[in-house]
Amino acid sequence: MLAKIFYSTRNFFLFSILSLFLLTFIGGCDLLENEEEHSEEEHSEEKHSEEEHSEEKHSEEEHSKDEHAGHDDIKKFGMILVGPRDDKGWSQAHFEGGAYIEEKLGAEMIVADFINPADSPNTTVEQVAADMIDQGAELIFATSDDMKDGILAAAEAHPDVPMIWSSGDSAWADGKAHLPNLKNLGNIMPQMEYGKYLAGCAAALESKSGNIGFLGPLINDETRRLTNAAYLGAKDCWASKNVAGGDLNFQVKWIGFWFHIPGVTLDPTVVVNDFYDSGVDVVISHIDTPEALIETDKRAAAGEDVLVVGYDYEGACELAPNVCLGVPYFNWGHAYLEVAEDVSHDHFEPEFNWVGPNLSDLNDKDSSSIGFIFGDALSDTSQGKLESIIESFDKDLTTLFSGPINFQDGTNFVPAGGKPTLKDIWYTPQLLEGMTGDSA
Amino acid sequence: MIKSIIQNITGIILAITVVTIVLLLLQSSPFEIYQTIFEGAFGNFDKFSRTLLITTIMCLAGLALVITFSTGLWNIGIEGQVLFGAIGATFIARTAIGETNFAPLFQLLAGASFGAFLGLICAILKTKANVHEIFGGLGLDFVAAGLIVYLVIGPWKRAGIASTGGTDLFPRQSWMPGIEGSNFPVGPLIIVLVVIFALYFILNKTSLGLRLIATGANKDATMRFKIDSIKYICIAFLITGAVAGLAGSIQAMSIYHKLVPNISGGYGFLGILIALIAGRNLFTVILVSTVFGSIMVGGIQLQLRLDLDSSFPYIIESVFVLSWLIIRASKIDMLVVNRFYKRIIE
Repeated sequence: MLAKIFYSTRNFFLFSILSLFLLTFIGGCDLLENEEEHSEEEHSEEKHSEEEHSEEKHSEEEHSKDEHAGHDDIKKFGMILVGPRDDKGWSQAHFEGGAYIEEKLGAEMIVADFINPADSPNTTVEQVAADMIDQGAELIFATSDDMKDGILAAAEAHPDVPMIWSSGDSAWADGKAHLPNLKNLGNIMPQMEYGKYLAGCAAALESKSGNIGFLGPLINDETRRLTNAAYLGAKDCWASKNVAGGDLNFQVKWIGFWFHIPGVTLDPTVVVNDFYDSGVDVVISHIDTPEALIETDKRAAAGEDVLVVGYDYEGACELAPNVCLGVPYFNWGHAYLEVAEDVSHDHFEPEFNWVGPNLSDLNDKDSSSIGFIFGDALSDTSQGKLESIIESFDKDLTTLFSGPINFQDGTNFVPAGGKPTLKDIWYTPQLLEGMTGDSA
Repeated sequence: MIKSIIQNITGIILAITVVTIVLLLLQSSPFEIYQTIFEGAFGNFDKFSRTLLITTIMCLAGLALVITFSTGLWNIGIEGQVLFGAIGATFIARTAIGETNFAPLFQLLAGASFGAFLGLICAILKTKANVHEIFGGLGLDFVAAGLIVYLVIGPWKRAGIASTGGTDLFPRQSWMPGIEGSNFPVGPLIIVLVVIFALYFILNKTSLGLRLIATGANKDATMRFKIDSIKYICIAFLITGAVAGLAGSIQAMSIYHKLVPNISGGYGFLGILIALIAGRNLFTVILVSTVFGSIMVGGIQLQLRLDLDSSFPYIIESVFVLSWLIIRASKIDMLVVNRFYKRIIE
């Protein structure tokens, strides 16, 4: 029947298809030209715009030469993200870190986002790194713990290109997984322990019931030590409130990965709602994405007295300003710029950089590796308390973990009056005594 | 013959036209996109090799389905069969055999057997329990996906880590062997060629093939000719499962070198699309797999070079398939061909 209708109008139909072809072609050309003009503005690498492009680059170079005395700054660098660049979480924090290099050095960032087996099953980190190098990237950032195997392979395959595996430990001479042969692979991880301590403290100060839920991603060294830091903050601040007969109940639930993968991980929205249904009144988020903030906002809008602490990205609280107590966030730009400058000056060393914050100005973009933004839902008293804690922080991270601290199984982690080593903290094998949740 | 080739080409051109229009509606420039994909897929030997590897895996998924399609079966369970193949390969890699030079051979065998096993369950459900293969297959897909998550976060997890990110890397001996210093997929290529010839031979030169096709054409009629259709349904699922299992093994051995959830890469379902387009034609399966493989591998360049959203390759692929099916169903390509074919004859 359909065919008959088409057949009776075949001339018209053929004419339409032909016209569509023509229109497509003309439209395509038009758009191509437009895009070229557009990309020239954006310093893209269109062939047709090479001349203009190089002029612009020249002026950029001159500009940067003023600042960096005769060195050629890197022109391009690659940023491999595990999630989307606008996730209001972990990946966006890295993306902004890259944007900071663009702003300071005038270099162009090549971004690949969603690089994880669930979203990009056909794309490996090694392949993306190779493509970025093909495109002229002089420095590559692989920004997830999950990219370990890929970035190690990429570093081995391209020994001349400096690379950074963020949150990793491959360049730590004292570390358990040191790979001295990879001379081109460094690690950067901010000391977020301070931020998580504050997150835990904020939660405890504002919790009425003392029931705090910790929305964890997967279990590894990094998440164990940061979760522990949050617990220590919560424990100290809950104790300082002196609630009669009220014990702190700190529950950790792991979803299984850094973010929600349907059918593979637990659903963080379900976990957060389970927390609230079980009597938790403050949730601390530790996953890459901000589901906890959105769910808490919904519950609060329905009249419940619930609050949340965000993570990763400084703008996280904007998603739920009414219920957000604050957000410890990463400021990758500061450390990333240093590496980009080292590469520009041919000084790159495969260092393990567990970089501390600027405790005298925690939110300074140019000097602090992490920051903490106070949320609107945080009371003035609590804010004052947090500010005094920030002032009292010691530059030595190990002080934060001063003993006595016991592990979840009752064995001793840090004896009374003692401090652990940095290695003890980095490779924390268990959650701490007093926390509920799996350690491995 | 010529007419059918012309019709296929016309269909492809029409489908590309629709894709082009959609891309224009998305305010992007189609020609730049096509060019970038092409360069990304075939720009140098390394990229060509990568495209070839992805194509061989897709091709295996598509080829696997040719058998069940010929037998009139909808093997939606192929996704699970691919996953089971990957589990089989990982199982061997984690045993003592995994550290010997024979590992790849055993991994492939295990992968094929695991895939065939899941296929057989689907066949038994269909023939003995009267569960339609679409529902049985879909259910088994979930079982396989669940099993992988369980293994990755349970018995096969990395020491001290509980993450769905994957198992430990296989020992080097359990990686697909290749040429030193190159990523050219010699092994997968040999496997896919063997499978193509085997399937061609089975379908066209053996009575088994004839009986499979006969079962697909009319199950009740074949029963009257004393052909045990239940037996042939089981055989079809066994062959399909084995080939799908090979695809899963190659994913684990050549691409990830470990077991991860979603290791099938959606190739099972993509294989269904490929088979939908190709019908029973083995040559078309190869052709369509190559197109899809190129889009998959070259597609990443859209993000890197043109700063387009990472979903663009999938948009292109799905619009292509959808418009192809519409064109085929509404016989628009036929109409165009008839028009011009008549002219040529006249």
